[in-house]
Amino acid sequence: MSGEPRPGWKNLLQGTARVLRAPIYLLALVTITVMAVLPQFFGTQYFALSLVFATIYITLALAWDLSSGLTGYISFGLPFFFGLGAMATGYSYYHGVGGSFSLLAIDFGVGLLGGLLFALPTLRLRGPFFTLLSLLLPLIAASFVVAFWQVLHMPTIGYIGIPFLAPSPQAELPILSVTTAAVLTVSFLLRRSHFGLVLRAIRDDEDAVESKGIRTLPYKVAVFSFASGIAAFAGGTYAMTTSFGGIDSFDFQFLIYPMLIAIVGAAIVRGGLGGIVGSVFAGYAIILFSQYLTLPEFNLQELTLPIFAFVAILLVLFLPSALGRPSGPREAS
Amino acid sequence: MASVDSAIAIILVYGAVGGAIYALISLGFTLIFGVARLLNLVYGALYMVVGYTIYALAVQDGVSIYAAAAVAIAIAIGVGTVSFLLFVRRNPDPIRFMIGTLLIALFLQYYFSYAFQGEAGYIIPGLIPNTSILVMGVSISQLSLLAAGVSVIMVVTLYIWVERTGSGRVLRATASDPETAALFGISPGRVALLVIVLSSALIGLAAVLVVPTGEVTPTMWTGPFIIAFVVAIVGGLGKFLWTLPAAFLVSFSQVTAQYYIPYDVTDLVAFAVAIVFILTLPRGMGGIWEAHRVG
Repeated sequence: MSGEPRPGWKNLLQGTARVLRAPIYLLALVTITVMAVLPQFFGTQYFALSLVFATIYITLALAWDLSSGLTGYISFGLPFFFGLGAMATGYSYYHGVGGSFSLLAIDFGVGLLGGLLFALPTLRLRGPFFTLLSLLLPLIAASFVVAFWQVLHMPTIGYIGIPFLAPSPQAELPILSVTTAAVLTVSFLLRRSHFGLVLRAIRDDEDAVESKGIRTLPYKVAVFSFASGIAAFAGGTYAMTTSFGGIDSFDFQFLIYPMLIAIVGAAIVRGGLGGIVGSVFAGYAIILFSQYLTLPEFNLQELTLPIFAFVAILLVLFLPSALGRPSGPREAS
Repeated sequence: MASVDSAIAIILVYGAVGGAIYALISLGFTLIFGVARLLNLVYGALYMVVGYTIYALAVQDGVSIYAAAAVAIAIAIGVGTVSFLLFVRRNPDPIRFMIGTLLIALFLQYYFSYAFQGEAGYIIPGLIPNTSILVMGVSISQLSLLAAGVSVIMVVTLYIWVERTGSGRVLRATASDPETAALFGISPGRVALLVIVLSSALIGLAAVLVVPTGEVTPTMWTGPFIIAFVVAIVGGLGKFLWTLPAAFLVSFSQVTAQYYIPYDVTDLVAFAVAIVFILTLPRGMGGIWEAHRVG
């Protein structure tokens, strides 16, 4: 693998560079950068922590949009892989794995493997099996933790005392912003690649894709496993932000917010689900607003989730474009 | 551990009663999918709606349990019908319906958690006193026996209605081929609406009978949802007449495992049964029977 790049590599690099010059992508990247830098100079620690949560939710939304939005195979299992990552962080830490980045790498691997094991049998079948089983995953995982936390030698229904990713939210935010930007870049490139084109075609008409001699299963399994790895990675960062990896990570708030972010993001870029980039803008707006509502002067902390679930219902009802097919030119590089 | 005889008695009694109750919980879910081809994810939340409505009316406001139960079932029917009308009449897209109904279920969970101060569990009164009697030497609550009895009656009534009456034939025709049914003047939309009302009433009735044996909590909807889903898979998605045998299979699997494993593994066993069926027999018991009959 030495010497001059082969023409294929040259084309790939040129194609990648061309895709990454897209204004909407650059704008998203600038937004992530500004949000990473802002709390270093202005605002309180709470503001920085809110932005940390925003980056975690944006990463989750990107993962959901990449798999469910692009393929049309709706997965409700996001909280399972998120929780799996959080639990894997605690388990690894308790069993002597040191170093935040090693823990996060393990989380990604566990999520990838978990996604593969789940997707391989369920995505073979047509019909609603995949979606329904994915919905059961977080429920079953929570039951499992409640039943077996003592057998697994957990101190409680989860792992406490997980080391923080950084000494302060201000220090943590740039790290998470870089990972969010990386996930955005990879997702954006995948969407615009031949791989992404096949995924969108699967969403449009899977039979037509198969009739062209393309086996759809590897594409679906690959994107779902990758997205599961990202979700588990996000779960690991959440555990290292709250210092706890436990049963609360399987809560459906880790589905509602990412879905809401992806749907609003789809409406912003007017491309339907699978548009990827819109999640960045929607994520900051929604999470900052939800954190704003929890301030003592509003005292709406317990109402935040019902409010946002209600908003999501309204969006699904009245924003037909948000759940529509991704539009725009078929940009295969 | 108890003797073999008592082990068999425990598994038989709890398995049979649990199976009958599971059938009542699952009947509406399989009916909707069988006729309207819709996965109604708000279904489990209606169970929770009934629980909290009875708590608010019967416990907090002192209304009679019978009146509270009637109002609660009416509210469950209302929520189920509105969900259907909102997401299907406006835009009949199964993905939109699935996401929308899940969001409604989660909205209700978080709203009840807020309105009733968190995860605390509440006890609600039953239609009869929650005392226990001995069946084959096994102690079981009278409420559970009542729920099992009502379930068997409902399943048999539904079977006779679907198989032996003209309106039941309309239901079967729509389930089998909605487009051809429409050609013959049947409105699939109206049939689907009827089924939504019926299934909401069934899960409401199940809640009235079963919830008093446990607690009312914001996450209580997940239990019946898991059961309804697994029974639907085991019976065969849409094969609503196979609900009863599928419910018994799930219940006996759970009770047997629970008897020998000293941890709460009921949900895990249900999930395992669903996985085994999806991987080996995705058409469920009903599908196997149909294939055998045709073959």
